[in-house]
Amino acid sequence: MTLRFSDHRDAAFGALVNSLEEGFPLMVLTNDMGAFGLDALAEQFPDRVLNVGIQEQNLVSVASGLALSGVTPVIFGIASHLIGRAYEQVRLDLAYARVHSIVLSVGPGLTYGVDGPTHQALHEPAMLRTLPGVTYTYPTHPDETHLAVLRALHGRGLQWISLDKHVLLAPESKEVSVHYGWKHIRRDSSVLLISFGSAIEMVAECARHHRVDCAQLTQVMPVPAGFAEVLSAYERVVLVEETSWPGILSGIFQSSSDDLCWPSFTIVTLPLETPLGHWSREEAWRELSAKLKRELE
Amino acid sequence: MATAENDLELLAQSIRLEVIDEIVFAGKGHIGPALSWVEIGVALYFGPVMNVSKVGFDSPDRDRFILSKGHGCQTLYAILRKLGVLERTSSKEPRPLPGHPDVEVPGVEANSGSLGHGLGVGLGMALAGQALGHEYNTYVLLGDGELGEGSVWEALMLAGHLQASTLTAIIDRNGLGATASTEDMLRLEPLEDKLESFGWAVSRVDGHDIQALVQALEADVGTRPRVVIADTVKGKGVDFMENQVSWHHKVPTQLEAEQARAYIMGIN
Repeated sequence: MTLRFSDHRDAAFGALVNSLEEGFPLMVLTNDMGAFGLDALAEQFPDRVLNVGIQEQNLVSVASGLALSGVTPVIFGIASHLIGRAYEQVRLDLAYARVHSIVLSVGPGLTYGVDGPTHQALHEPAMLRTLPGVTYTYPTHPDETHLAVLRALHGRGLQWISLDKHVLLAPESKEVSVHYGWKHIRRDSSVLLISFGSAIEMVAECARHHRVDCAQLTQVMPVPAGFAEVLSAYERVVLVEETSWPGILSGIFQSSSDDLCWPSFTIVTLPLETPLGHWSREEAWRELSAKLKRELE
Repeated sequence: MATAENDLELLAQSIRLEVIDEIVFAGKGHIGPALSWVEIGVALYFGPVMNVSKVGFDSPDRDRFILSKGHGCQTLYAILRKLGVLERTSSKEPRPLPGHPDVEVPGVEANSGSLGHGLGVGLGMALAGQALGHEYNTYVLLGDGELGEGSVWEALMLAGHLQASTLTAIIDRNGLGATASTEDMLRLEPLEDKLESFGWAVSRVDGHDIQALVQALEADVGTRPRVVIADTVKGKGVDFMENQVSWHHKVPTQLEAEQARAYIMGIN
């Protein structure tokens, strides 16, 4: 399958350029983060890009002011810094203020693992989990990213989109059923593996090897339409997350509905101590894979 | 439309009385910080420096006001009641307003309460106006203790760099934090020099002189954002509350409230 965009950033900025060309009132804000797609956007729409320099907290407050006054802010920055340093502003000025805003959060999980714990974002999903009204999307194919950004522009509330460096090809297997926000590989097993983000590649391979079902969430929060009912039909669900213990998915599912009867969840994540060990992403995926195999055997 | 000077002073007096009443009714509130900026609020809304009383709160060209020192919100609520935007609390269903501003309250432009956010939000509003071709000014009131927050200086730096000329910051310079004087905790002076160096047009006035405030807020300062340092008294108008850290968030007893009202009305 030919990708329309070479990577997630190009896909995201492509969607923004299209929207600006149609007159959508948005402004891109960044804290000194670069991207070819952003450079191209800035060249075409110089008054719709604001590089505030290295000041994440004020960046988010400014975004709130824009949103309160009719301009949709699109924040582009590194995940660990946006959710960490500016959490208070994300919480109060975006989420609690109930404004429509978009965050393109670069480097989720251990994307920048080799740069050390200051640039790792294992805590990002857990911190997003505390915020009301958030739509958290983690596409793994650039075409998904393009669509996610377009949907976010026409959505409501805080739209948080993770932009990984890893690009996964869209699955071509006939076993895959694709829905907005989730994909499902059915092998008529009573066990379902669920993951999100780039770790899905490793998880899907484990599922294939052990002949169990597998699902990927590209919309992590809220639970995408139709998914809760599917997973509640399984006897056993294994949640695999490139996050710190205890992950977020079990809480998200169980809080999404009081009516469904949930299966037992097995949680496979990285240990809390991961940021202290300067792990690379590959090491982390090997750790997750080993844990997952032990659970399935 | 402009109101005579003594009318504005009477209005300030009336607002102070409402602040006392609201805090006693709610059983909570920051009375000292609310009383210190009454004249600033009168100058903005009734001077009027802001156009919102003329164009209405639904107009996209209305001037915006953000109370970044959100704990002083009872003054804002009193102003909004006098403008008819906020209904008076019904005696049949009394319910205190939020202890810090929330956009769910009519007339409130932005949530505040966690200090250090308002100037950045106001800058965003100013930038939105430029982007959309709306002509309005944005005013942000900060506490002086609030200047300890690094995010305020981020906003000061960025606004100065962008020459955000439709943005005005007002600093309620009452000299006191919640527990001590600002200069004992975290020295702010020389404040004018600091703000000038960040690219702002700075003026300093008596924060209880409504005409001086109006003049400072309307002066032509060219392309720079404007900051007015308003020297004020925490707890202004009530003799036993003035310049007292203890009245940062103490709720007056019924007797103290009566005494406060008497001082405000000049009876005591």
